[in-house]
Formats: sequence, C-alpha cells, structure tokens
Amino acid sequence: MKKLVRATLIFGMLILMAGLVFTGCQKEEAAQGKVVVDVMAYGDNSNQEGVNWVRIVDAFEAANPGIDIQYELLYDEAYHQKVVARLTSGDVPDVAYMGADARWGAPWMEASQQWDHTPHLDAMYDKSLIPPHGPNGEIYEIPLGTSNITTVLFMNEKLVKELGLSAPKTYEDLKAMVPAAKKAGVDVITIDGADGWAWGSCVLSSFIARTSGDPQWVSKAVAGENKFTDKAFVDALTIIDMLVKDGIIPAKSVLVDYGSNVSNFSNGKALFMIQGQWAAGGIENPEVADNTILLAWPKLPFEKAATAGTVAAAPSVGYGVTKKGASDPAVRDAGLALINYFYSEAESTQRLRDGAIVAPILKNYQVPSDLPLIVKRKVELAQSAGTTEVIDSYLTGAPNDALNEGMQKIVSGQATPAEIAAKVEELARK
Amino acid sequence: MEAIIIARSKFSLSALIARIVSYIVLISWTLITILPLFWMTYSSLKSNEELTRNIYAFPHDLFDNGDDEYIVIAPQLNVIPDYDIKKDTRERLIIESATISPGRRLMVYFLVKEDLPPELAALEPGDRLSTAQLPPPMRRMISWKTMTFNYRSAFVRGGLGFKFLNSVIYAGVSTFFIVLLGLMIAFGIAKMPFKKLSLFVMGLVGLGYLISQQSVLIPLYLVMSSLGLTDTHLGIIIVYTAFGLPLSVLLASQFMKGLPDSLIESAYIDGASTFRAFLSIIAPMCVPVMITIGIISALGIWNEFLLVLVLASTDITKSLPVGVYSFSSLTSTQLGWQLAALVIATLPAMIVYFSFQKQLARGVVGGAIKG
Amino acid sequence: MKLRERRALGVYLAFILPGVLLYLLVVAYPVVYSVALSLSDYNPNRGGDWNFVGLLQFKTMLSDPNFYHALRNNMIVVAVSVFGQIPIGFILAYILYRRMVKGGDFFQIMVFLPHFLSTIVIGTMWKRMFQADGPVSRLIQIFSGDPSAQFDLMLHADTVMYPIGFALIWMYTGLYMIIFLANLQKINDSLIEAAKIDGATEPQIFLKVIVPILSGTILVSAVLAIAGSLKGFDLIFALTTQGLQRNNAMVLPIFMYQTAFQNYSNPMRYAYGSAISNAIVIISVALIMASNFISRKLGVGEETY
Repeated sequence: MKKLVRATLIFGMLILMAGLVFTGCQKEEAAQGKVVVDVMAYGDNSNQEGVNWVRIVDAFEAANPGIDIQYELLYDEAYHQKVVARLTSGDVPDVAYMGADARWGAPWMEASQQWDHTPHLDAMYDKSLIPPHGPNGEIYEIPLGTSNITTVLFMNEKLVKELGLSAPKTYEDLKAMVPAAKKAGVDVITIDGADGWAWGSCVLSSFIARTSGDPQWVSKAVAGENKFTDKAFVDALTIIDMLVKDGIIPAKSVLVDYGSNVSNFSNGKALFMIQGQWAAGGIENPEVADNTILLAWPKLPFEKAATAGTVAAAPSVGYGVTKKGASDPAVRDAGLALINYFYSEAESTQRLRDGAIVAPILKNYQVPSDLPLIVKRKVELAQSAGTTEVIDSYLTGAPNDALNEGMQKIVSGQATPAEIAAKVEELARK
Repeated sequence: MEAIIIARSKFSLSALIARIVSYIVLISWTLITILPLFWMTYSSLKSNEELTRNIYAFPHDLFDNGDDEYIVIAPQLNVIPDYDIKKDTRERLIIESATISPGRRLMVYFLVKEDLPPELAALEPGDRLSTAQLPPPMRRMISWKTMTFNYRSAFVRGGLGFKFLNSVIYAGVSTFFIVLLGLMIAFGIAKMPFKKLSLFVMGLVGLGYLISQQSVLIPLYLVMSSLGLTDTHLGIIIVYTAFGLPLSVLLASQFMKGLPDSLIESAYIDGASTFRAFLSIIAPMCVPVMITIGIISALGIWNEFLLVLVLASTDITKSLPVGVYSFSSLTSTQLGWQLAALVIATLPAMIVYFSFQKQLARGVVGGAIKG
Repeated sequence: MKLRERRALGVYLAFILPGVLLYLLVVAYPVVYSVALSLSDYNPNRGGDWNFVGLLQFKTMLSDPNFYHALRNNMIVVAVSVFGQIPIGFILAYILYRRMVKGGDFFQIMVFLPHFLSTIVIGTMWKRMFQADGPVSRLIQIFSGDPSAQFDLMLHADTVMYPIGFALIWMYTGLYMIIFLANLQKINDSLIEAAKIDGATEPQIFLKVIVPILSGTILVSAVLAIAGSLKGFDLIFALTTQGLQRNNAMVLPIFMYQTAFQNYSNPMRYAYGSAISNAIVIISVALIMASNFISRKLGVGEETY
C-alpha cells in the first residue's frame, strides 16, 4: 500500500513538473521582430474551409516572413461561444470571420468592433458586388462571395427522368410526382428537418417573399411595418403544411439531420433536396452530382407575380479587420495583406471549385471553363434568379427560435400556421 | 418443520425471478452500451464514401486496396507536397485517388518518377492507373496509408498527439491536487475540532458543486484574463482543481466520518502529530475513496470540453475533446475522420477503465479495520 | 489552554486553507459577479454602467413560460435521478456485492462504462440511433408491424422526457452503483451472516440491515444527484437537435445558456441569464435542505457498527 502511495506521489510530481515546464515554454514565443496578427478563423478539420485555411496561412507566412499569424480555428457553436467569451473579456482578435447581419454581426456590433474597410479597400475587389453594411455605406468585412443562396432545390435530373417525370414548374407538378416516387420507393423532397434553422433559412425565406410579393418583407416586419400575423406570412407557413399533407415532404423529415439529408440525396433516395448552395460540394456520389440541377422553387400557391422564381440569399460572411486590429497600423496592414491573399484570384477560384461560393467579388474575374458541372449550374441559377431576404438576417433570438420550432411543429402535426404566426408576432414585439 | 420447507421453496421462486430480471437488465444494459461503440469502432475504418453508401456495412474499401484506381493530376494550388520541394528536386508523378474523396486532394501521392517503370512515368494528367501496376514498395506504402487513412488524418490534421499529451497532463495533475487537497479539507472537517467552522467550510465548498460551468464561463474568463492565466497550462489546471474540490471534499468527508475515531485517538496518545496521523493512518485507509474520487475527477477532466474551449486559444494548450470536436461540425464531410477521432479520444479512457476495474472489483480496503 | 487551542487552530487551517483559498479564487469571484449581474441590467459587451434594478430580472423570469417549462423538465430529471438512478444503482450494487449473478465483475464494468464516454461520443451515436429510419425506428417498425412508424417521442413535449430519462439512467447509474459498492465493502460481513442465521431472506437483509447502515451514503448520493440534475447540461444538449427537440427537452441550464449566449434580441440577456443560473442554485439548495430535513426525520446517518 505504501509503495502504491509513494509511486502515485512520484508520478504526480513528474506530471506536475512536465506541466510547469510547458507553462514556461509558452512565454517565450512572442516578439521576435515579427508583426503578430491574432485571427479568429472559421473552419474545421473535417471540412474544406478548415483544410484550406491551414494551407493558406502556411503559404502566406512563407511568402511574408515578417508576419506571424496566430489563429484559432473553430466552427459552429464553439466558434460563437468563443467569440462571445473573448469580446466580453476584452480579448478582441485583430482579424475575424464575421458578418454584418443580425446573426453574424450582432456580437461585433454590440462590442463596437466593426471597422470600415472602404478607405483601405484594395483595387482587386469589385466594390459594386459588395453590399454596404453600415448606415453610410461602410464595409465591415470582405464577403467570401456574392450573395449566399440559401433556398436551393437540388434536383436529381437522371432519377427524375427515369421515373418519366420532368422538372416541375408549379406546385401541382410536384404533387403529381408523389405516386411515381412512392412506387419507386423514393421520397420526392428530402430536407434536414431536425435542424430548426433549415426550415427558416432554406424554405420559409423563399416562401414569404413569394406570398408577399415583397423581397424585403422580413426586414419590414422586424421594423414593425408588417405583422407576422399578416395573410402573407400565414400563407407561407400554410404552404409548408400543404407540402407535408400532400406527401411531397415526408413527415419523418423532422428526424433527418444535415448529414443524412445530403447522403439521402447522394444515394438516390430522393428526387429533390432542400439546402443552401453550399451543399453542392457535399454530394459525394459523382454520378448524382453530375446530374444535379439547381432550381428555385416552382410556382407556389398564393404566389405573387412580382417575386416569381426568386431565391433567398443572405449577405455573405467573410473576414474583416476589427477596430482593435485597425488601431495598430502595422497589424492593420498585415491583416489586410492576409485578407487580400485569402481572397486572391487563385484562392477564390479554388473556393469556387469546391462549391463553397457562388461567385467571387473580384474585379474582372474570368470564370474558368473547367469547373465541375454542378458549380456551373450554381452560377447559372445565381445569374438568372432574383434574390430576396433570408429570415435570420433580420429576425434573431426568441422570435426566430419560436418560428423555427413552430415550423417543425407544423410538420409533425402539433400546431397550425395561424398559431405559430401569432406566437412569432407576440415575441417579436416584446 | 413444514413451515421451514415451505418458506425455503418460496424463497427459491422469488429468488429465481429476481435473478432472471437481473440478468435481463444487465444484459440489455451491456448491449445498449456495447453495440453503438462497436459500430463506432468498425465504422472508423471505413472511407467516407462507404459510410454514405451504407452506414452499417463492415469496412471493406480501405482494406481491399490492391487494385485501387488513381488519376494523374497536375500540380495545383491545393496540391500540397509532402516533401520539401526545395531540397528534393526529383521529378514526381502526382496521383490522386479516384474512389476515396476524389477531387478533394486528401488522398494524393507524389511518386518519384525515377522509381517508376517508364510507361507509368510518362503518364499525363488525366490518365488513370491502378495500384496493381505500381512497383511493390510503392504499392505497399499506398496500401498501408489507405488502410490507416482515417486515423492518420485525424492525428495529423487535428494535432491529436499533442492534445492527447495535454489531456494527460490536465487530468493527471488536476486529479492529484483534487485528491490531495480534498482529503486534507475532509480530514479537517471530519476529524478535527472547530465543528462550527467546519460546517461553514463544508457548506461553502458544497455550494460550489451546484454551480454549472456555463453560468460562470464569462466571469471566469474575465478573472483568468486579468491574472494573465488564460491559455496557459497552469491556469487550466487551477480551474479544474477548484471545480473538482467540492465533489472530492463531499465524498471524502463522508467516508472519513465512517472511520472510527479510536484509531486517531490512539495515534495521538502514542505522540504522533496531526500530520503524521493523517499521512500514516488515515490516508492509507482512504484508498478506496481516493480511487473513487480519482477516477471520477480524472474522467470528468478528460472528457471536459467547454472550459478548455474557452480558456485555451492556441493549439499548445488545447486538449483532446476540443481536437475531437473539430471533426464534428454540422456540415462536416468526413464522417470517417470524425469517428476515428472519437475512437482516439475514447480508447485511452477505456484502457484506463479496464485496468482500474480490477482494483475496484477486488474492493481494496485498508487492512486496519477488518475483524 | 489558549496556546493549545491556537496551535490546534493553526494545524486545522494548514489542512483547510490551501484547498479553500484556491477554490475561492476560482469560484468565488465568478459567483459574486454573477449575483451582482443578476441584480443589474449590465451588458458586458457594450460596457456602460451597472444599473441596479433590484429583482427585475427575477420578476421577468417568474413570468416567463419558458422558465416554467424548463423547471418542470428539470424536476423530472431530478426525480429520475433520485428515484431512478439511486435505487437502481443501489440494488445493482447489492446484487453484485452478494454475488447473486454470475459474471458480476463483467456486468459491473458494463454498467459503469457509459460514465466514461464523453457526451460528444454519446450524442453522436444516440442521435444516429434516433434519427429517421435509424435502428430504433427500425425496431419499432418490426415490433409494431407499421412500416412507416418512426421514433418521434422526442418531437412531442409530453413524451420527450422518456428517452431522455432512459439515457440519464443509462449514463449515470453506474456512478451511484460504484459509490454504494465501495461503501458496502466497508460493512462487516458478520452482520450479514448473523442475519442469515436468523433466517432472513435477501430482500429482508437488504431492507432491514443494509439500507439503514448505508443511509448516510444514500443521503450523500441524493445530494449529488439533485445537484447534478440541476446543473447537468451536456447530455441533454448532445442528444437533442437544435429546434423542436431541444425546446421540448429544455432544462434550466440549457435555458440559461441559450438566453445568455444566443438571444440577441434581448440586450439584457447576460443579466437575465445570471438570474436564471442563480435561481438554479437557489432551487438546488432548497431541494438539498429539504432532503436533509427529511433524512433527519427518518433518522439517517447514525452509525450502527
């Protein structure tokens, strides 16, 4: 027994010493004459964004020996948590992945860390493709690409043709596909309904624009000019109810998550998939990917002619220098250099190929001719369809949560569109 | 006489039912625990394409790789050489797998042209070849790398080796202090005078157990920030130790209260100092609860994610759960890597668990009390 | 006299202080900050002033239906822990201790194993089991003969706590089993032998002999269970998808987290979140004091060696 205790004590001492040695090691790095840029990057070891980021930073540092990039690479929840933690304690990064809408820009706006890039905007960017973020046309971040389409209807053209069907032009066309699909044992539309945000961003955002005929209906509603209990909004929710009742979207889709959604489509288990344009790069099966057409929603019930054929697109997020980073000219310039490298033509083309963006925001950009088919079709959609607002760019917090949850309730038969509309209206006005 | 016989047979029937129910519960428990873990382990050896095709099938693609198809590609932006191009200037034929993550530049090999037969070395980008055509050493290398694709990727991309070490340090050092300080406080509370003060300390420390980590996240980060201890090993160890103390004190003091005072009295009478009594008599008898506290604490720290996410910003201080989480994003395209990372994180805990089980099962009890 | 007392005090402090000081440093300030925050309208992000608003945040909380929904769910979690995990853990420990089944060691390993898995692992695996046409759905389809049946217990607020409760018991019972096992091994065997000679059956031995002796352990476990239930966040967060499932299974810590970190429409969200977390502590203390009171009434904790 005594031997065990003694052994444990010695072991503990060793680990303790190792720990202290490491603590000491950390202090030494810092200043060796290099400009240090502290970056909060968005990416993950398992997706293209993260893999590319690591590569880009390595290449940038090799090309710029006087600059040292210290970054933290996080994704999803972890990213937002860390941003909040750092901003509240005053440990603000110099460069960060941010947006300018209610979802991505809120923490930075609250902490007054948004910095106007316009005076330092490099000539390589096409300013007309960058939407203004601030009240006086300020630009707070460089968007990854032109607008980020969130309501795409991916169609497996080969499978559709095999069943003797063709691309739907109206809601009735979709409804007519149900019997044939059932016979073949496939779903008409698959959607990752388990994720609340998917309903808001990838479905309702387009529906509300169609039923109201106003591409900016949502922002007006948040500002108080429209009510969520207006007929247009209730109609939009009703369409979702109809889709489920007519069997176009299976009720069990509320139990399908993002990964399963894409893999259902990749495995040919559905004719259509609902997601944002970023999912194009995730279709594993090359046979399916090459035969995928990207569509806007067909003509829907209650639709107004003004917004026919539109898709919802969110202002793109991207990297930007913070006010803290801009306060030191050397850091600011290094940060801008990194950003310009990140958005350079070669890198933007790579992102285009990977399917992460629709089109870069660079001046005189030549689209390469050897892009994957699915990327080309994405560009076609972006060029042909008009765009409308995405809901969670304007509606956040409790009302948005209630809305997303409400749609899931509608799909699983627990609530009616009118009830949900009333709840959202109530929470939005508090 | 008859009454006893009847009583005994009744006893057997209810005992039998009890045994059957126990077996059913225990076996179901085992299955629910083991089957998903089993799935996770064998699925971590499948490529992402395999997983998308059929999520329950046994691994095949990564192992049956003697005849894999590869495409020759030209040097490009996202094709990163795995050798130093400045030092090694031999010409290379770059090939990429056509079946495993095609087009993503994740399964790329740089074959030295000199070592290839001439017809292969002359291939142009776009041509296809099969691994069966390659010289045996290359074929073996590619075969090995294909089999270990998921695990190599997880280790290298996630920096899991270093994070593993960090996790060991955090769990080891923090647990050591949690046990040590916990026992000391428990001894003071349970076996020494000043009962009123002890009650206060006990309440104070116990209250800490009620506090969830999310609620103190922001102020904790503020405190650590002002002390300059964010993103340091020392800071993280201090935080883990402090949060582990309440449970330790609670369990240890309850255990110590059950130890007879007579032992300590006799030690004092023999002239031992309090410290001596603690070290030589009480501590050895507390080994069971030390093991319990040690295991619970070490385990909690090994799996802990939120605190270390917020307190550690650079790869030097991040621990394993953060590394594992970096493969679990919502839009992740590499389920195989994620599962491999999960296995890497779970395996050590399992190994330690199975080794320590013997200690727990045999019921280590200090010799002094029995009989 | 005084000198001896002082020296005794010195020794006492030498044992207590190192740990307590460390604890206060790390835990005290955040707690005080949190209490202060809950009585103000401060938003750390925006700086500005601390305005003392009294019990405003708490009033908001008490009139928020989401709070009551989360509270109700949390009480269910507490009940599952105290009346599910502890008795089951105790009985399992007893069964293993008395060697009533073969392969006791193996089963002990299996029951405690879930505790060793990180919630990321459990979340990944169980979410997959619960998804559309996943293993659990398939089982339901086989057993009910309905090929379109799905596992939708998590979609309805009134049934979501069944799978959650099941998961909670699966994961945490092992801990209590081990605690009881460690304490069972401290018991003098002769007591059990004597009871057997007197003709007692196993259930009688369990209820009349063992339970009273270990009543102190039961109390400590109950306290741990209550505390853990009210601050437990990871498992429920990992098992539910964001949206309907998580809102159905909302418990107080998740409610606090979502309010403070994600509810951007409320500029006082940090203060409100602090009020919620302080309410959690108050509720925990109340429940623990209640269980202490009840156990004292039942005569728990007396040593009957």
